Amino acid sequence: MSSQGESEPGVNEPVVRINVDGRDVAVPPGTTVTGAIALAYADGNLGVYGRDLAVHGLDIDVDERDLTAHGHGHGLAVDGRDPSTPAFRASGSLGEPRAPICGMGICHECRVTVDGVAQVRSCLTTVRDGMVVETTGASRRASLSAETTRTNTADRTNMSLSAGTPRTNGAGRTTTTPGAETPRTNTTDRTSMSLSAGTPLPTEADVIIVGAGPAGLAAARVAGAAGRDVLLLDENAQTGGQIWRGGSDTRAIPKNARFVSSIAVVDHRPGDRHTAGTLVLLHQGRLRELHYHDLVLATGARELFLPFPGWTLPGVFGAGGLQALVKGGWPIAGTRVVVAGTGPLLLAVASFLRERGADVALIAEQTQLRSLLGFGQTLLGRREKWPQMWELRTSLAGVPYRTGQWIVAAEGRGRVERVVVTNGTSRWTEPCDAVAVGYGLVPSNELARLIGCETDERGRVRVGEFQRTDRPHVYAIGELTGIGGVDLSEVEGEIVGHVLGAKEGDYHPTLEPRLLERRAQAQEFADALERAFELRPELMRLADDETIVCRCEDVTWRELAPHRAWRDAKLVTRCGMGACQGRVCGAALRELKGWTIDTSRPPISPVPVGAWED
Amino acid sequence: MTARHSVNTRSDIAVIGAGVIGASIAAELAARGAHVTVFDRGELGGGATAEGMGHLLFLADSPAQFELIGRSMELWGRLLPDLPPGCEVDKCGTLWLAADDEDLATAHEKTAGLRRFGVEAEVVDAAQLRQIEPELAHDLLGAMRVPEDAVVYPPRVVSYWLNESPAANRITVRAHETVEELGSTSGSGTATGSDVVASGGQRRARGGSAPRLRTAGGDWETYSAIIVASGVGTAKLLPEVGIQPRKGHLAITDRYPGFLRHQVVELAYVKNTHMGEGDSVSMNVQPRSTGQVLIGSCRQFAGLDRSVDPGITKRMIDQAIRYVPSIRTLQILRIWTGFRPASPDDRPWIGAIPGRPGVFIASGHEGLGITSAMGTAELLTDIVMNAQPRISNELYDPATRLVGAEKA
Ligand SMILES: Cc1cc2nc3c(=O)[nH]c(=O)nc-3n(C[C@H](O)[C@H](O)[C@H](O)COP(=O)(O)OP(=O)(O)OC[C@H]3O[C@@H](n4cnc5c(N)ncnc54)[C@H](O)[C@@H]3O)c2cc1C
Ligand SMILES: Cc1cc2nc3c(=O)[nH]c(=O)nc-3n(C[C@H](O)[C@H](O)[C@H](O)COP(=O)(O)OP(=O)(O)OC[C@H]3O[C@@H](n4cnc5c(N)ncnc54)[C@H](O)[C@@H]3O)c2cc1C
Ligand code: FES
Repeated sequence: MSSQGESEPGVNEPVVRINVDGRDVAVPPGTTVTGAIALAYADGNLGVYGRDLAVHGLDIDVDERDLTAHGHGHGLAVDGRDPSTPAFRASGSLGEPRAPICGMGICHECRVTVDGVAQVRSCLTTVRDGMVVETTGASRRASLSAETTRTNTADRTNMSLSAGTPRTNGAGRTTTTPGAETPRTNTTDRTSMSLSAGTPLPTEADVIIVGAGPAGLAAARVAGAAGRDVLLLDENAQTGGQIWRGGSDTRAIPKNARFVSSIAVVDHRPGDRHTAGTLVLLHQGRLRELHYHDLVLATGARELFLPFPGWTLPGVFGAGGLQALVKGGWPIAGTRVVVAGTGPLLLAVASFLRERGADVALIAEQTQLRSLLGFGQTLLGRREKWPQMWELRTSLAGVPYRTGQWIVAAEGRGRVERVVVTNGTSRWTEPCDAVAVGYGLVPSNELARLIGCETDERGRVRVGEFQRTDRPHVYAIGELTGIGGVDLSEVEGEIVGHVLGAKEGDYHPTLEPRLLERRAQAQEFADALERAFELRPELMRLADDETIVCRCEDVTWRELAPHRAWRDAKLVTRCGMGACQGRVCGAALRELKGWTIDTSRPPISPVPVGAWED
Repeated sequence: MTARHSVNTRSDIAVIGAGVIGASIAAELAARGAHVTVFDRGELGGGATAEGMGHLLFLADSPAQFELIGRSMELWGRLLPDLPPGCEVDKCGTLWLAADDEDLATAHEKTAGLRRFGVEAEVVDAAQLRQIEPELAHDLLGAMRVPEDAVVYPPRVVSYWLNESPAANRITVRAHETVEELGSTSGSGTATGSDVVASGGQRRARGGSAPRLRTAGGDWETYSAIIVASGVGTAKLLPEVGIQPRKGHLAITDRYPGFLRHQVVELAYVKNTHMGEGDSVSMNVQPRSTGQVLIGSCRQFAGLDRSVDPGITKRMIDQAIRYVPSIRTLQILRIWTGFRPASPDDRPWIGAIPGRPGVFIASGHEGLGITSAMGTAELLTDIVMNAQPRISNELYDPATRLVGAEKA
């Protein structure tokens, strides 16, 4: 996680200049708009590309203000910054301040206006030079005129990073930032592969793999090597999925496969005589159709968010969510963070945040020590996990890790200032600027359900031995089929790769028994994990009457009380009808009330009206 | 010709269907003292009522049409201020957009028509139009503005009627119970007998047969009157009426408060909507009180296939862009389909069913069921309770339309 890969960002790395709520901000290419907004607010008036400053320990002058950069590792720290999370938007009905929680396009709390286009998810948007960003916390008038639209479309295809060109800011002064004098020509930043501006999208592909996480990448590698024509798609700008994505951790695209990024699958049509099926994609602002012969679903998982009093305050994040946001440039150095929830992800996240300069105040693991010890024995039996454990142990030295504790409330005015923690018998408060809560993962199965694949009671897509779903020519791999970690995801990807590479028929001589064995082992480990980190019943009772359960529509726990089922509640309260389409509250209500979401409807993720135009 | 059925007001009346029609009838019957049991095979208001736009609009293409709609709108006008916030009442008014001279002439004609019935309406010219709705296409010639039109969120109104309205305590709701068939106490399903004159308690009829129904997995239950308000499900219970599903698509966007103030409809809507077997698309864009924008609408006879048709979706969206160009930038969150209960002769069915004593129908409102719900409820209640109907049901009476079509 710490290696910088091919190019260590240095003082010469160009910057992208954008404007956030009237403030000029310079950020590194590849930063998400979410990260840029947080940076813009982090030091009161100025966002600074700080990662390399931290590395090089420079003193710089920006807008006639002396800012001393310092920090740990690659962390960002700029003097005078305010560690609080800015409000990105006001909630729909109550007008509460809200900020991102998921960092991966799920929660829709990060929506802002980008270049006049309102309600854009900033965590999925990478900065472009000259971009103008408005949070709804600031100037609310989004220009929606047709003229603006046309300009935007033009902008979107203009990929030039006019980096290093000094620009006049709103106040009429010239801003300079490191790297301004030496524009690099080879700065096709990591996001540019996503732009693939010149690459015309085919209308047909032999094998389509949706999701370029560990599972999808492995499948692409093996199926490609076996001679299949593979097209790998991801709605994100980068490969790597939830674990590897972000900065230097981006994985290489398999040699024998084509990758198209920033392309969301939004709908599916059943096959006919000529094709096994068709995906409808949102690509560069337009809808496109793509027929396939075989389809591999590797859409992964997302975090489970459980409502508790105060969880809608800015500064309360998902654990993986905060990790993803920081990878996208969100400043965390010097921020006091409480990490809570369950499972090994907490340790990974805490260690990562610390590496980026956060002050991790506490890790609260809801599981009792007893079940952890049992799991520890499983771990000890798995040699390959030792180095990882040792690394975590070292990187988290000095951070209190407490079992049998959980957060019952977050408090603060307009943003989180402290959390209330309990061990079941007593309660106390912990001051903090941010909270990272992770209660585990749930499969991202919207596309699978839209296609009609059978899922089980926990939303996992059911597959047979060779990762086949019950729909012809449709396979599912990775965390979509069950939460099992990166090893399991990769081996499932490899299996599908071999299955696709083999000749027709159910018997696959190329499928080495070794793979099936590896999968069984990884599955065993996943099962042990699940048992050890089972959620305690108290977590299902945290919400009080006033706690908002559906964040998009501001529906409280009390309003849901009279209802018996999801659809019934939805019709009357609007629960689940907002922008996230029940991704957050639906998963929570499955845990809290046993409700299941009835249908998956197109589009799977928001599509601008203009995308339907020719 | 109209068969009158007198029903003891203390006895149980069954309503099959908790859509906007059945729920408004139940509330009206209860308000007039009846005890009502409402059946629905699914959730309350979960049928067409949850699938549509909830536009309450004045239409006066003919005096007959206005009779039901005008009365209904009058009743809605009284109810709207009392509805709870979840009903999302928005008195946004309607702008009927004129794209060409023919449309503009229609606007003038319709304005005069509405005014004749005392409904406020005016023609606005291109400049005024641009001022009141800046996001509309600049080449539009004008519009008819009907300021009293409104928008509601119908499923929430249904739950208000059934659970919170003044006489809701006389309503029993049996959700998730499907009525499998209708019958009568005299044995066969469709006995022709004399009128039901229930006196002294429920489940008894004197001088003939009483209507009954059987729920899935349940026994026969007898009522003093049974009202079929089952939307497209009416086809199964009363096949002789010939209600057919007419499919529509809608798309809803994220929240953009202030994007539009009025519901906007193309004037060509009138030409496109009525009958004809072919698919039709009419621009219909509605701002919701949440700030969301609802994009419609289209009509297809396509059975009960719920799938989203890409071709017609595109036509619908292209049409919206033609009238509201900047709608391009709005994000669509969800597209769905719904089924309007369409009547073979393009008019709702309200009244007693010949040959089925004690059985009444209120269905077939096609794309105007929300608008005409309250007038329908009042009219049907008048008929069921043998009161002098406030408006004539001549146009809607099954008796005049099922002549000679009596079931064997
Ligand atoms: C927020 C988060 C943080 C995590 N952090 C860690 C960690 O620090 N350490 C660790 O060991 N494990 C971590 N995990 C778990 C780890 O990510 C998984 O074990 C592993 O990545 C699963 O791989 P996958 O290929 O199944 O799915 P993913 O890695 O989730 O990949 C799925 C991909 O599909 C794409 N996708 C989904 N839907 C669509 C669509 N409709 N159209 C186009 N593309 C789509 C997504 O953008 C994503 O890139 C984390 C998980 C999450 C959710
Ligand atoms: C896309 C679209 C847009 C529309 N826009 C508007 C508009 O803007 N304004 C307007 O006025 N109207 C509009 N409409 C029309 C309006 O929605 C319908 O006319 C109205 O909802 C019909 O109400 P209903 O009660 O007859 O039917 P439904 O709402 O369908 O109710 C019938 C109920 O009966 C139940 N049922 C059926 N069979 C049985 C059985 N055997 N046993 C038990 N229960 C049963 C069903 O579950 C259902 O809940 C629109 C419709 C569509 C599809
Ligand atoms: S942070 Fe962007 S959608 Fe959740």
